[in-house]
Amino acid sequence: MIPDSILNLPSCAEALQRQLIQWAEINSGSTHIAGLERMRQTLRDLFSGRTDLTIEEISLRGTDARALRVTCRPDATRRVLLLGHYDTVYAADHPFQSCEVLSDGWLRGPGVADMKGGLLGLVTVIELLSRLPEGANLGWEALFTPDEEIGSTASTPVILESAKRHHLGLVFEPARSTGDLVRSRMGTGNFQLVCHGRAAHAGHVPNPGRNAILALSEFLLELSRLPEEFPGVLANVGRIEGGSTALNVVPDFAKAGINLRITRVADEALVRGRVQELLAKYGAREGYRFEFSGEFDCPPKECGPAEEAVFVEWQKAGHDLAVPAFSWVHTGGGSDGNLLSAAGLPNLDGIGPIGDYLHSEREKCNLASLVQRTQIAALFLSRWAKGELPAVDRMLGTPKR
Amino acid sequence: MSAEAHHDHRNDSLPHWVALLRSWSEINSGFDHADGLLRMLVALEAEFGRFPATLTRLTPAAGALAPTLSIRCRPEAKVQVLLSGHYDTVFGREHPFQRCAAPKSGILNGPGVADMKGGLVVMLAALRAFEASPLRENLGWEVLLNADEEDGSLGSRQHLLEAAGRHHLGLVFEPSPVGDDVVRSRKGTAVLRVVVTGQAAHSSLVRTEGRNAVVALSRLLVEMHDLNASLPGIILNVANCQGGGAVNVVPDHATAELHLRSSTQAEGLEAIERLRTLVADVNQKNGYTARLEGGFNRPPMGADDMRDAWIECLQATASRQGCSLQGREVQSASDANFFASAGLPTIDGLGVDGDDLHSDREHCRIDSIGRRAELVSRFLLELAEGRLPHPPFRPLSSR
Repeated sequence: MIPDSILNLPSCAEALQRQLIQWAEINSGSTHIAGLERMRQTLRDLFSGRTDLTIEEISLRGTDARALRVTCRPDATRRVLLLGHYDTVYAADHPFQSCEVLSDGWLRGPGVADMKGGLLGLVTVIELLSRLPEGANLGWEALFTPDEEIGSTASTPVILESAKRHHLGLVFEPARSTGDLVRSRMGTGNFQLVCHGRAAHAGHVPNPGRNAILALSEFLLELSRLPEEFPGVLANVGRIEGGSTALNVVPDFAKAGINLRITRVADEALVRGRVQELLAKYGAREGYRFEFSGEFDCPPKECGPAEEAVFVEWQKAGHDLAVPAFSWVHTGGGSDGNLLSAAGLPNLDGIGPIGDYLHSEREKCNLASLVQRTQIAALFLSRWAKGELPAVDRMLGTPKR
Repeated sequence: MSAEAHHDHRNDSLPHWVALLRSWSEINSGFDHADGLLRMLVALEAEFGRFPATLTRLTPAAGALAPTLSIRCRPEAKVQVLLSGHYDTVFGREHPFQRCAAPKSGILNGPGVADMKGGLVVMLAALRAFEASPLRENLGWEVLLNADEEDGSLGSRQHLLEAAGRHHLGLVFEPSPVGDDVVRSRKGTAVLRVVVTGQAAHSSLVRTEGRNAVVALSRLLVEMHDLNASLPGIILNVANCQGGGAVNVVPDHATAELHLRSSTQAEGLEAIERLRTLVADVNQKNGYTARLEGGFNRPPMGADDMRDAWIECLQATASRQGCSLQGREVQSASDANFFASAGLPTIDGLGVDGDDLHSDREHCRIDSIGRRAELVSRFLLELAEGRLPHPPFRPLSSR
């Protein structure tokens, strides 16, 4: 039995499309504080007048941007965290600022998929549940953050704190262009490797110099082979710099910037162990000194049995709503879902509308999927609230509070 | 020109030359400092203008910021000798090393005191002594001073090569290799640039869509540097590298600059050929391109019998002065390499005895100024006198 309000959501498709265009055309690039404030106010206005809600604007360390938190029934027996970011990658002066309805059922525009489309799905789910009696059994918290596209540095403590209060997290990031959700995400960290050698005139034979560029190059070659040794690990040497324009001098300094990605939490220890071995090996060379710094600031999001259980019901809801079948996939890119997993909160990620060409001027959102994915989320939560998903309840357990 | 101007005895003492060197050292004439080079040029014209000679500012080709100065005296004389030096230094206007000091007795520490304003003073002092003798009429000379030697002499090279054809013998006043010795051979130098391109992608796609240009360059540099072991006649220095940007993007561009020295032309060309092969291997890989730019700047100046014979003549002169010297193999190149490549018998390293060149410890031994000036003036006088048994002169290609 599917509630009529959910079944009838397609009749609101045009209104949703208009709303999405309006939101996408509010520039809220991660560094555009005034634009972020406009977008946050727009979201906040949706909840005004509801006396059953707690609305908080949360100041964040190191930025003037704020997070918005809306809480309902924090003491309910089943509590879900609805997570979305309202910043985009498009700065205030980026040429991509407006939307275009494409002829094939897609909407092209800044952030339409990543993730204003998801935000629209999120608030629509809240709206649908508020009209269903079983909605009264469900506690929820909607958390809107302003800095996901620049690493969620400021929001991380807030997200981790919210994660502890809930049984389940739903992350409204876009679905893949294939329609698939995200099963797992790699963790990621940025690191710097510095090599100090010894300068000398290049013409001396034998040469007392120690070429920092050469030693660093050898080190980087070994580092770039980490993925061969550890499946599920990726290493990208993103930047290198060393020496000077004095061509007859053996360079005594070189450095590299490296992005490392891991699939499992346990990979971090493996990678760090290997790096330590390399540091010991190269540092033992006479006349050289290496420095390695940085950390995995975004832990991997692994798929556990709770996610498996939720996804089965998600697919079933999709099937019952006659939504085209979809699967879920592993992806290298991180999201705030990684933080929920790090905090121990089971969560399903990539439940927003289908998107493509994210972070480019070709970014687009599939309009039919905007309705469908919202219906699925609402139907799942309705069933969970009614106690119809005992397998999910078993897996989600009790939150830590 | 008065007789006094030709020969001013009051100014021939060592303290005079030391004072002159200190003042020249403190005129910043970094190869990239146009105003400073012009100030130095004017100072040189003031000193060399006291000879009965023709001063010409030769317009440089692109690359040099100031003219090459030619001072030519008696171009009609039977014997023609080229004396060459550079008035630029490696120390730019902003470099902290700008003052000349005498940290201890007998030593001058200052920018260019050895490389090679000291050599210019030796040249001037030697010519002053030589011009005081009536024997001078038998020998004509040309002083050639360029402003971009430290930058590869690209702008002055043509002037150097043309001047080589006007002379029987070249004397270059770079600092001595060690003590009183001179240069027997010099390595040639090539300046090379490696450019690698790959394919950009998000760093999570580094194994699939991305082609990492920085890693490809790193591998190439390690392979290239191995040539130092397999080709003993060369020295290859990887001097700098640069590539990529944001670390979460697979970099699609990386470059490095290499400095190559070789003892012979053949070894140098072989080294470049081997480098090209390594670069070609990268081009075989899907999604990557690599190229090698640049080539020999100064060709090697290998040891040869003609130079050895001239060094023997100089040794004979030195022994009459009570000194001894030998020819030495030197790893770096100078403008002597150009003169040698043009077929001019050339003795280099006739400047001062100094050390720690290209650093703020650069210094010279003061007594070497007088000893070197005496050696060169004696040598010119004996040459003019015709009693020095020297190798046969080649016919001049121009006058």
